[in-house]
Amino acid sequence: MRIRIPIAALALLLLPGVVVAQGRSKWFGLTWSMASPMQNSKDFVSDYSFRGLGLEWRQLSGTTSFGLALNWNAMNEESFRTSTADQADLTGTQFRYINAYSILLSGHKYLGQAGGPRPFIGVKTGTYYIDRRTDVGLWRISDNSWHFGVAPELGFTVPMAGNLQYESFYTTVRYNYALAAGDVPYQSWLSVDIGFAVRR
Amino acid sequence: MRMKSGGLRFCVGALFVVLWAGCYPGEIDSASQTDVVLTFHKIGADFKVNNTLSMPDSIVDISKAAGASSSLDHQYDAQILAKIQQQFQAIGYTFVNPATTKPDAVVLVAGITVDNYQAWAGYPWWGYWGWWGSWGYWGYSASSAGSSSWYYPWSPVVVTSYKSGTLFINLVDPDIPPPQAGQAVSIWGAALNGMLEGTSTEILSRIATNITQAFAQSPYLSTQ
Repeated sequence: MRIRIPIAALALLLLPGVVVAQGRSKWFGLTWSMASPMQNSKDFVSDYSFRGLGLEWRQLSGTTSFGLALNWNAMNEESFRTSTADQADLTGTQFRYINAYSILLSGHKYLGQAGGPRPFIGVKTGTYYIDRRTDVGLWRISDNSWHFGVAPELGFTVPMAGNLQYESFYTTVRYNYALAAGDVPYQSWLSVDIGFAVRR
Repeated sequence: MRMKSGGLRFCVGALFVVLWAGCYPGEIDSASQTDVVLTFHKIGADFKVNNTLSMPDSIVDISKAAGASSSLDHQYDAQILAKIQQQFQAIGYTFVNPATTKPDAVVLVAGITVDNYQAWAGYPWWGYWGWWGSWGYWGYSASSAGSSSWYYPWSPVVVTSYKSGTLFINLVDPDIPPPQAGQAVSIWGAALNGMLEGTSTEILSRIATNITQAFAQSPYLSTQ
C-alpha cells in the first residue's frame, strides 16, 4: 500500500503534460494540501495534517472560471486516552484517522491584472467520501460515508518570471464543509493548498 | 523553455512526493501500544457494602477450563495476583481467609492466550522469482526454516504470526441472586488485552501497569 501511493502521485504528476497542447484558456493545477480539522472532525482528530494532494482543472473565461477539483486529505492523531460509554471504560493508545476525498465542481472570480499576482475567490461544491478509522490495541473501528458538501475558498496566484509566463505558483485557503450523512455528523476542516499551475 | 518548464514540474513534483511520503500517519511501533484496558461495572452496584474479599491463589486458564489445550504461562501468577490484591487493599478492601471467614465478595482472575495468524496475499512476490529455477534448493530451505514467517515462491503469500493475551479480573458478589442456578454475578470486571511480545520482565511490567490503570479508571470501586 505504501508503495502504491508514491506511484499514484507520480502518475498524477504526469498529467500536466497531457494538457500542454490544449490552448491557454485551460488551467491545470497540482497542490500539496494541508488540513486543520475543525468542529466534529477536530473532536475525532485534532492534529494539523501535512498529508494531502489536490488536482484541479479550470476553464478560464475573462476574469472568471469554472472547473473540477479532486482533493485528498489524511488527518490523523495518536493519543493515549480513556473512552467511556455507559458502564464501560476503555483505555489504550488510539490511532485515529480521517481520510477525506472530494470531487468538487468549482467557480472562481479573479481580481487584479493579467500578468501579475492575482487574488481570487471561489466556491466549490460536490461530494466527499470520508473514511474514519480508530485503531485501539488489536482492534479497529471504522466507518465510511458519502457526503454532499460545499467549500468556499480564497487564494492568489503568482506568475513565474522570464520564459515561464504560463506557469504560476498559487495558494488557497478553503473551508470544507461536508453535511451529515447517516450516523456520521457533519465534518469540516480548513485546507491550505500550495502548488503550481500550468496554463495552456 | 520547454526544458526549463519540464524540469520545474519535475522538481516541484518530486518535492511533493518526498513531503507526502515523509509524513506517513502514525502506526503501532511497540507491543505496549497494543495494550488495552477495559473495565465495566454493574449499574446500581453498591461497592461500599463489600469490604472483605477473598481470591484464589492461581489464575484460571480459560482454554484449559473449556477442555482445550493452552499455552498460558503460570510462572508469574503470584506476582500478578499480589498486584491485584495490593490495588484492592489500596482502596480500602481487606482480604480474608475464606476457610475461616466468609468474604463479602470474591475476586476471580482468569487468562487466555491466542496465537493469531495473518496471510498476506498481496505480498510482492516478484522479488522471489529467481527461486523458480532453484525449486529443489528452496524446498530444502523451507523445511529447515524456524522463523515465524514462511515464504512460498510458488504463491504470492506470506504468513505472519503473533501471540496475544487477555487477563480477566472479576469481582463477584455472592449476595446478588444470579439469573440462573450455578452462575455468579460480577459487579465489576476488567479485561487487559495486548500483544505478548518482548521479554517476560517487559510483559510482566506491562501487566502490572495495566492492572494499575484498571483501578485508576474505576474510582467507584473505593470502599470510602
